[in-house]
Order: sequence, then C-alpha cells, then structure tokens
Amino acid sequence: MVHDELDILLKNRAVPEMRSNLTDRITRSALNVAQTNAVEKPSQKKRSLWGAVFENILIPQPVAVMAVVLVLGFYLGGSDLIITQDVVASTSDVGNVFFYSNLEIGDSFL
Amino acid sequence: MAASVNDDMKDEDLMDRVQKGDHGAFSVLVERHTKMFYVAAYRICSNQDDAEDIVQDAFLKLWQRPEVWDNARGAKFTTWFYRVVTNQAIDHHRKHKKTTVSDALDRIKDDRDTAVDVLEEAQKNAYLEEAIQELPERQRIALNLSFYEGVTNKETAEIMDVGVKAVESLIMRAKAGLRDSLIRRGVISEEDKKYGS
Repeated sequence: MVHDELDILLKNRAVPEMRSNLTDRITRSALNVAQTNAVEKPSQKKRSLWGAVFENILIPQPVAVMAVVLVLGFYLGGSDLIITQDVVASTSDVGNVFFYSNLEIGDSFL
Repeated sequence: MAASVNDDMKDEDLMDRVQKGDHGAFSVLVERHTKMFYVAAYRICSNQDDAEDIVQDAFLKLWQRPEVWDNARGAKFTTWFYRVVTNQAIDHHRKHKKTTVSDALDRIKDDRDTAVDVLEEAQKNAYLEEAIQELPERQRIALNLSFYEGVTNKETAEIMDVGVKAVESLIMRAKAGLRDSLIRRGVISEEDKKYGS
C-alpha cells in the first residue's frame, strides 16, 4: 500500500501541549462568575414565586407603615366628626353636618 | 437529596446539573473535554495562547448561561460544544489573522533539538500549517474535525450544519488544495499527486 505523503504530514501535524493549569484556571474562574440564567427546578420556581409575593406584595415595609399612618389618620381625623355628633344628631340633613361643623364662635347660621 | 457527581456521568446529565448551578458537574465537564476542545481551537487559530483563551471563554460562557444548551434537542454535548468552540475560534481567527511560517518555526524550535533533520521537519510542518491556514474556512474546519478530532463525517455535518456529502466534498477539496500548495512549496513531490487523486 502506498502511503500518501500528505496524509503522513497531516497525521504528524504537531499541536503544542496546552498548559497543565488550564482546567484549573477555567473551574476557578467559574467560581467568580455568577450564573445569570441558571434553569430552576419547578420546586425552586414555586418557592421563588412565593418569595416574590411575600417580598413585593405582602410585606413591603414602607407600604405597611403608610397603611398604619393612614388608619391612624382616619381614626384621629374621624374624632372631629365624633365631637360634632350632637350637631349631627340635631339635623337630619347630612349636608348640613359639614356646614355646622365648620361654624366658629360668633358665626350666625340663622 | 441529589446524588453526587461522578466521572461516569454522561455529558448531557452533567449539563442538566450545570443548569442547576452545580459547579462540581461543571468541573467534571471541563476536566473531561478541555484538552479536546483546546486542540480543536488550536487547529483553527494556530496559536497556543489564543486557543486556550477561546476554550476558557467558551466554558465560562457556558457556565454563565447554561440555558443555551437544550438537552431536549437530543444533540450530543460534544457535537454542540464543538460548534460553539469552532465558531468562537473562527471569529477570533478572522479578527487576528494568521500565524506566519516564522511563528510556527519559533514554536517548534523552542520545543525540540536543533538537529538539521528536526529543523527540516519543523519547516515542513510550518509550511503545512501555512497551507492549511490558506484553505477556505469551511474546508479547513471540515478537515480539522474529520481528520483530527475523531469526529465522524456525520457529526462534522451536524456541527457545520451541512449534509454528509457536502462534508466529504469539502474534505476532498481541502486535501487537493493542500497537496497543490505543498507541491508548489516543494514540501511534497509531484508523485504524491498521483497517489492522492
């Protein structure tokens, strides 16, 4: 069998050895690189979905604080209305409640 | 609890784990295939540092965005990753054009004795390297994959996204081109043309 000179040359084509630490270099570098889009297991997805609900809807602290402030505000603001209850009681016209409640000493409403 | 990673696991199973952030599985893949992909990258860019950078970059991108691998497609991991590395090496090669004969000679001289026959062989290798670099890109890739990487023509066809017949034709044309080029340079004799054709 005649060997093709080109085939012999191609078979003997040299490739320099890679540096021995290349694999280490790659695996170590990977430790410093965060996975951006790792595929999650369904259970992980479920958990993270609940996490998102709790984090973004149920326990956002600023919103909770605002809600408490609003409730207190309504409660304290409503107490003015309570003070004017006798005025309210004296009239059946709800619109007048505000008229009466805004009266100051000396005003005449008759 | 998930079973621990071991060296017997299939690449595709390791990739499933890499997709879940398993660094151990990633390390096994890297240990298993770095050399093979380094050689593939080197055959395209003919530069040791560049070939190492290309492989490192490809693996790190795989770690960063493992979802780019889709096991459901049923492809072999190595076939798919050959395509990734090859494309990266081609991009790199296009940007940083090519190795000269003297580069190749320097590289070989560094590694070996300076006896005359060794130098002659080194010179032949350098010319061969240059002739390979002068081949059209697709011919070069087909030749590298089929001749060196132990990749079958069918797998080469998958990697290159062409038919098997096209791969065979590319390899044939690559060898014919190389033969002509090396005859012109006096590296091989005219006789070889008769055997080769």
